[in-house]
Amino acid sequence: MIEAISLTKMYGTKKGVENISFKIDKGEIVGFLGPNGAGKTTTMRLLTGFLYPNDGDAYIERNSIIEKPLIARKYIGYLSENNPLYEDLKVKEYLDFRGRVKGLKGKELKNRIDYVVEKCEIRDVISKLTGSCSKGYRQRIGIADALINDPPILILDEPTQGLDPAQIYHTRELIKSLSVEHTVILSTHILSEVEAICSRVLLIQKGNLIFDGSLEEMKNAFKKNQVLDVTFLCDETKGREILSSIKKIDRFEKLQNEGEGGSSFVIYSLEGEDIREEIFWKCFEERIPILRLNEKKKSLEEAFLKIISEESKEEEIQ
Amino acid sequence: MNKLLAITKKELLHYFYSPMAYVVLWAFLLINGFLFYVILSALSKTASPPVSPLSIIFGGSFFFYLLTIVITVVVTMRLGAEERKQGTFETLLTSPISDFEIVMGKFLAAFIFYVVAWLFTLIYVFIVKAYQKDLDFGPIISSYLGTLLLGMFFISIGLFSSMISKNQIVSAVIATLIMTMLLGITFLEFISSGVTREIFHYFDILTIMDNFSKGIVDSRNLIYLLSGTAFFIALSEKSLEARRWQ
Amino acid sequence: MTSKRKRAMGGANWSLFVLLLIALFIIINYLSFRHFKTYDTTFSDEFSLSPQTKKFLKELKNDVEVYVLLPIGDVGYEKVSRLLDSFKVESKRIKVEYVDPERDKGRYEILLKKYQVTNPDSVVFVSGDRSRWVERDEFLEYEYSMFGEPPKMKGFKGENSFLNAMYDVVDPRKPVIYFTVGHGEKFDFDESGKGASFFKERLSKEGAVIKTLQTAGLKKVPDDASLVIVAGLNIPFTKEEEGVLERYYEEGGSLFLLIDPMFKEGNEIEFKDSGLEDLCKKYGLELQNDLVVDPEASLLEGRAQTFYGVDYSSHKITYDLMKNKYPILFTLARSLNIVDPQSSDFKCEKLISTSEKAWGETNLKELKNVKKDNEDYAGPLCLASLIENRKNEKSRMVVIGDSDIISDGTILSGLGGNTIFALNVVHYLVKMENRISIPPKQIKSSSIVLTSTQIVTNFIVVVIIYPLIFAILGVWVYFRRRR
Ligand SMILES: Nc1ncnc2c1ncn2[C@@H]1O[C@H](COP(=O)(O)OP(=O)(O)O)[C@@H](O)[C@H]1O
Ligand SMILES: [Mg+2]
Repeated sequence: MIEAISLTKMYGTKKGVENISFKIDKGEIVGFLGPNGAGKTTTMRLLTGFLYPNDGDAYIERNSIIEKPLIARKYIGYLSENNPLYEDLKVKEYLDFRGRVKGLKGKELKNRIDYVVEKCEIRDVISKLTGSCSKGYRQRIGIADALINDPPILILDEPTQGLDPAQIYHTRELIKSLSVEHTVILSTHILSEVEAICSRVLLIQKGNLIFDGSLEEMKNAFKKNQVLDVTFLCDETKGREILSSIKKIDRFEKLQNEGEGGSSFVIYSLEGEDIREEIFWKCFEERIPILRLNEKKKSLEEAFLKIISEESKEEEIQ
Repeated sequence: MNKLLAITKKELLHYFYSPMAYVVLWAFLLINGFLFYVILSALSKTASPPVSPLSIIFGGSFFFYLLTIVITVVVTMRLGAEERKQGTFETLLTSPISDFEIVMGKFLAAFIFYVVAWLFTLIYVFIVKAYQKDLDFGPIISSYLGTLLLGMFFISIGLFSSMISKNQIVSAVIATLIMTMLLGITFLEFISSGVTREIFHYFDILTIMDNFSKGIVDSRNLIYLLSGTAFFIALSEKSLEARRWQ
Repeated sequence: MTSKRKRAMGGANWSLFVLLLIALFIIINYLSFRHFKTYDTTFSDEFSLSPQTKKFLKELKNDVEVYVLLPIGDVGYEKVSRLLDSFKVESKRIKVEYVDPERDKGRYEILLKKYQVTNPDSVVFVSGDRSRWVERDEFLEYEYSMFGEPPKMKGFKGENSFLNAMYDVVDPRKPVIYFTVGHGEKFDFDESGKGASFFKERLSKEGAVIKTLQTAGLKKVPDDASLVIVAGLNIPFTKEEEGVLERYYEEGGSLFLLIDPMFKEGNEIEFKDSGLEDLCKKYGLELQNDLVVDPEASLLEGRAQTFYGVDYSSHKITYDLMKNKYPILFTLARSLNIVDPQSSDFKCEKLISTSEKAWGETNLKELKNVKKDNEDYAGPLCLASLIENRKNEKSRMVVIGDSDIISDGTILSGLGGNTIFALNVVHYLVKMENRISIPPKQIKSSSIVLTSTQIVTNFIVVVIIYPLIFAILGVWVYFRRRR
């Protein structure tokens, strides 16, 4: 349904996103998660054809967003981050315009306007100027616009940003109900939002896609276990023997030796355990020298920490 | 075509829902009306000079060019700059509508406004007709034709300026600059001679408007104005695509 | 197109696109500059070329170079360049160069010398080794006002003078025209051209060689004659003289007869014959002894024997005059009556007639107080007629019941139609009909005279009320939207 192949976008010499690939199937609700400035908006702009990538391509229902932009864009309803509206049009005029631009007309247009007005609960403001609507209404008008031509895919950039808790709740409910009929991609820098709505997460950091999987998998990946990179001066069997004898080790993998001799392993501890000391004493007992021992910090974890810390900061502010 | 017209309709709503359109129309008709009145009374006083009052309104005076520049700049300056400023390009350019449709829709809206403004000057024709029974309508028709073609050309310039500008003021300045330069060809023609002069003569808008106002429709004038319009429309369209690559 | 290729084109090559676009723009406009057409939307065809100019230009076989030696701001400059432009539309063989006497001084001096131009403001036409220059007075007509104001441009006769200049350089034939003498003719074509000097001068300018022909005792019209003109007789032709003309005509010659009503000497209340009655009758034309009076087309009230021809045929001689409503002035004319010719080889065609209200006064005693009665010929009356000879295509003849149409007095008091008409007839008769004269284009002045109340009303309506409507509309819309 949506396929991004090594999307890269540079803003001049500044990196927007780099080498992002993923595939999204029909019916999924996908969350783009990442701190501010990570490249979520950039990715969405590439998917919607607002920007063209410097490298790579994206296919919407097998239509390249560069080669067949009109067909590709037809499948997408897009709510952009700032949700700009034409302030001096009335809501109904605005929706009428947006419907026509997306190729609707006549009775069909009228029916769709009625439908999205009901669905997004904007009946009350239909005759007001969009410029005089409150933030909550504006967001719903934007979603109504995205929905107007009944596109199979909805791309929503930070749909709950700047809303109060009640409005956030309502918007999330609306998105959930839309996900029945539409494939939804939304972006957020709030982990709890992903937890609340999404079935799948794409974690973006500094322009790179660093994790793609279900919420469950992400949680597992974020467990606080220790990852070590060690090299023993012995053969592989001996190394395995030593490691198997340590209870606190969850699992380990043999690594390719990089010409220094001995055998290297990557070791995962059980959650919350520090196993460095135990490994030392064990090797000491066996008279096997340790050539190297590194603790690996995962970038995923870094990103996650950053998101968490930002989230808590934001909560403090509120 | 429907999508194009949707753009046109939206832009027309913008024009006529904002007081600016009426201010422009008011000023346009005030200046033209005053000009017309001055010409009429001048013609009644002295022994009639060999000019028609209408030919002065169409290109025969400095005011014509002033009005044409002002009105085309005012109707085009917000077309692109405002979308950029408000961020609405993002919704527009991600809709299933081609850049050409967007550009032409906007162009058409500005042109319709321009045509409407000039249509209101038909009242002068009726007044002259009432006083001058043997009025020749040929030059009047070609004058309107020339005015509309010049309008198309200037609107395409204004549209392009607006597409590449961050705000309306910048757009207005760029457009006015280009238009003034085009009118300045008259001066270049005046100071040159030989083939250069002939080339400048070809591009001289004052001569072109003079032809139209006298009743001469010259294929060279038509092609210059139309190809100029196409040139700037193509540039406008390209500038939209360039935004995506930037 | 792969997205890679498109990316390469769209991303960086915005400047290439602009270059291509500029190139396309230049090509289109270059072609338009080279190949163009103009359309004249004026109802009076103010800017259209006459059919014969178009025909001449279309059939042009040699290149014609045109040098416009006029300063750029000259009164005639714009008209001339517009006209030459429309020449260029018709023929690729016309090459025009504008040389400003001030700015291109060097080139200007060279051209003046080369083509021996003596009038500084001229247009020079060159084809092969022949050249002809046309000075400004030949293509512009002025109206001089009395109060020391600069002269106003009144008419533009460039089409005619340029066309003739081009004829001169591409087709330098010189017809020989004989005027008969020895019958007390009103005009003296020998030297000064007394009485018809303007006409004579025009004929010479068009390239004709003017000679006189003493018909008394003449056996045969000289072989070099392209045309014999009989104008303003007072003494009738003898039978022998008439016979010489008859033979000349039937053997393929051309005759132009301008025969006034003639009166008996000393007794000016009776008509007398011109001696050419039988000749005309043979071909189906009766010279009637009368004096045409046309009160409806008269120039001055109570002087109805001086009047304009009203009805013109669409024959090419009169076509342009008719179309441009160029009147031809007659004074003391006789009427012509078309009757059955002696042989069906001949056929008469009316060229000009009077109005219905005109009549031919036959009773000269009543001249003081003319009125129409039963003996008079009833209008409309034929004033000028053309005779065709089907047996000999070369024979051509035009008869007019008045010789004053070519007199200086008439030409001065008319509006130019007379000269054009007479020249057209001559061109037709010498078989150079493509040189038929084109009337000058009048420069229109539109006069609107308003009373002071009308001016005030206009001010109130056009300057105050009308624009105000839109201001009010604006305020109304603004508040409605706000609600
Ligand atoms: N128009 C732009 N010009 C230059 N840099 C930009 C532009 N838009 C985004 N960026 C940069 O690209 C990076 C990704 O931004 P963005 O996609 O907006 O992140 P997010 O939506 O995840 O907050 C940021 O560093 C940002 O500063
Ligand atoms: Mg963003």
